[in-house]
Amino acid sequence: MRTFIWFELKKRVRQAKTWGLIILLLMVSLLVIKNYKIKLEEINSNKGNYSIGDIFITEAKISKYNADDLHSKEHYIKTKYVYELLKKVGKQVKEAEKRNDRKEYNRAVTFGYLLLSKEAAQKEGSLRELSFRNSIEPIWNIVSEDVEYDSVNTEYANSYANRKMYFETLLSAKYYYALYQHNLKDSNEYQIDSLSFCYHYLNKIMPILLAVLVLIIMFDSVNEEHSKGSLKLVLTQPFSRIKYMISKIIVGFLHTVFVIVIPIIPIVSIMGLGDSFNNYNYPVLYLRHSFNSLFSIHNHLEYDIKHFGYNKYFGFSSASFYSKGEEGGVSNQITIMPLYQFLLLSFLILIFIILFYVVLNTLISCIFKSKIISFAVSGLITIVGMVLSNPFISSDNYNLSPFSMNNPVRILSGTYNVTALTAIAVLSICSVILFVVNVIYFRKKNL
Amino acid sequence: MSRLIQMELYKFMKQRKNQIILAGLFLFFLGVVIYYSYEQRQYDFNMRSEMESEYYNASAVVDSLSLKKDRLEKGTKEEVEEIKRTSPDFYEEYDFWMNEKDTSFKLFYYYKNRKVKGAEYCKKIEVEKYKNLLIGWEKGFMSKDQLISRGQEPTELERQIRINQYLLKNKLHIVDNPYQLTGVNFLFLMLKGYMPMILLVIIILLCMDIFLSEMEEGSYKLYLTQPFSRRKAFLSKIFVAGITSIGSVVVLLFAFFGITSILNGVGSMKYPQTMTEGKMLLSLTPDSNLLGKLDITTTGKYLMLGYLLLALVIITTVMVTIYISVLTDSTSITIGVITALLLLGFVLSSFLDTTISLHAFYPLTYINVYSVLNAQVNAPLLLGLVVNGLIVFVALILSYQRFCKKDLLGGC
Repeated sequence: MRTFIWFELKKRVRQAKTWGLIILLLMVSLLVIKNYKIKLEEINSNKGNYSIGDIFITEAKISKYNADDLHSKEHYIKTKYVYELLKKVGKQVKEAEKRNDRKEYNRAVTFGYLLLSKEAAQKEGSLRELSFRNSIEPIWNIVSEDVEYDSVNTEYANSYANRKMYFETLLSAKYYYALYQHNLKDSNEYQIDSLSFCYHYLNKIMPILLAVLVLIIMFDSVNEEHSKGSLKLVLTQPFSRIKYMISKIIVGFLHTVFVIVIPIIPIVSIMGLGDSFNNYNYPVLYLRHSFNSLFSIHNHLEYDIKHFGYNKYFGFSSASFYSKGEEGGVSNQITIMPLYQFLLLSFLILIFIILFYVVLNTLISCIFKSKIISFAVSGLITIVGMVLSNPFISSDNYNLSPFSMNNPVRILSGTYNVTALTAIAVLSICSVILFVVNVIYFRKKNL
Repeated sequence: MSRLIQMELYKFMKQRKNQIILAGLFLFFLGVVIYYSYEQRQYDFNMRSEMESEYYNASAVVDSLSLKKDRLEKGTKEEVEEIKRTSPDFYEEYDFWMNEKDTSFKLFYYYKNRKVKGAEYCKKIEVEKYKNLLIGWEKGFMSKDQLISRGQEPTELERQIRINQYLLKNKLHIVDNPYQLTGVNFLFLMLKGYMPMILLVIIILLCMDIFLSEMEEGSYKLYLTQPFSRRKAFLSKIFVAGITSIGSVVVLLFAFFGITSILNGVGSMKYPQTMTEGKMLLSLTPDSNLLGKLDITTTGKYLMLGYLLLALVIITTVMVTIYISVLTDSTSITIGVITALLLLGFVLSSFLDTTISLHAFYPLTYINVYSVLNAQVNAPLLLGLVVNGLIVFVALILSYQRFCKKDLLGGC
């Protein structure tokens, strides 16, 4: 079996279509990189004088107005202190930005967001505040420049603070703290460097092209040997039909992985020469319990862009506004994860996606002797499946269709209406069912 | 020769693969009619929901801007300066959102009961709304992504404004449901969106193995024992490929034109449509400055040019497919190459900016007939006809030469 797989794989890798597809993927990747660079330049030129420091200064002003309205002198002093702290942090952020001091910038922004989270936590009640304290105290001690946690009382600082704001500011604090820890530069949705390219590759290119790539690779996997008559020859060897089928699926899977991975290598290597791969720890959004929960939070990215005109970005990863229809806020299920870990998990999910499409196409190739009909039927099933499943991705649905689980990045980020566990379960079950049908059919087929 | 053609046609129609694909083509047309009938029925409801949602969205923005406006009018000097610094076009933005709220509300009520106000009123409000949206986009009050997600791309808005203004100015009868499935509108809708692309794929599958099937079966030897020259054999196959690809589409188009005409009326060939300006239409060089520049024409002229372009692109792709099949003798490679070329066309239209000149020189760009005819992509019609015509010619010559020199008898 191993020898068969090895020979089959060598034969397939040498085919012109393999290298044609690799060139196509390279071209698409370069187009995406070019587009992102243009958008990045546009963003940088339109940025103007905007600074995160302004957010803290504005929040400081709100604290001041609230302090002025307070009747208790004790409360006034405490709230005034919050005002001064926020104002100081805002100025520190702006100065760090001017000096281009990345470390200080990330520290000050982290502390600023921690102050805002504390405002919201205290407004929510003592239990929330206790949980907040337990989770962020180590970070607070590092970024606060010796400001004692207990010395800051934000209870009366912001009367508008709420639960939604709490989760958003806490996530922002964790995001900037990760940048601070690894001395990384803040980025935006169009940031493209060595490893972030892999993120965009899996997020933007693969969902569009993967199904078609597998289709081109696999549509003639069995029927070509059947029509040429070489299948009879193979089966005269001490090689069972099941083993033959398993080998075909393994070869198809390895061939697809080869086609997908090869274009990334030169691009990532060249970009890595420029940034020394030091972005491997970059924080990206991740749905907490994605691998041990069956129910995902709902995705509203499409809704948000339609209604508010933009999506919420943390670096280059996006999150839906929470709750639906309200601007601002993110779900408490969203947390952050280092980029390298996220990419490894994404590739794990990608393996299941590839496996599903490979088994599906092998089955169809096995059923139809004509390559053209096999191609047409596979294409039709894939396209119809994707079109019909598309509504499950957005809005308040649960996504249980294997055809709409084609974006590992969004599955892990919790913006695809499905958790990683459910996606893996659905894709595995569908692959196993298709494989069993395939084996039963192939064993009885008159060859 | 005529016997040869008859024989080829008979063989073609007898093949199970071709029967399945022709059935698929028929089902595709049927699916299109059912889909658009459904869209026609749902149009008022969908538009009402859309306008309601746009109204609520604009209202929310207006509410938040009103607070800011209060601060601007009654706030401290510091506050006023802060707002002026952060939002230099504040009053324009406020007016934009007020206008958006107002027009969305009017359209929402129009679609709730369209008989009350009439189609002319709707078109007037639409013009007002779309002009306002374009201003909002130019000033940065609304992002392009938001417009696209609402199905209101700037080029499409400009098209709508132009046609609505023409209808109002000339006091013409207004068709206020774009999915109204009259015979003429069915032909128009078949040129929109992904319809031409799907049609193209089906036809390629139909004609792909016209040379290959005999090559793979080894029946050419038998073929050449008959008193036919290779030239005749080649020409008869090309002729059959042309008849089956274009012929089947034409027959189905006429058939469904007839059915939809019987069901909903023929529609008017003189109804106005937008088309790219003559300067761009007849240009042999791409010019991004002419994008979005539109003239008014009749539906008849639009359909004539649109189907001419579609037919040429289909013939080009069929000829290229035949050339690859004659060159490689492999169905797998032919399918692989053609799918990769179609995929490249899709990738270029998805990832490449519409102003880039490369679109004009890639023949499959012209399969997006609606975009080409409405100056939404930098690809002039005449250049498209020339590029595709040249490729047909070159592919025909090369295929012929290759076929004539090919060893069909097994290397003696």
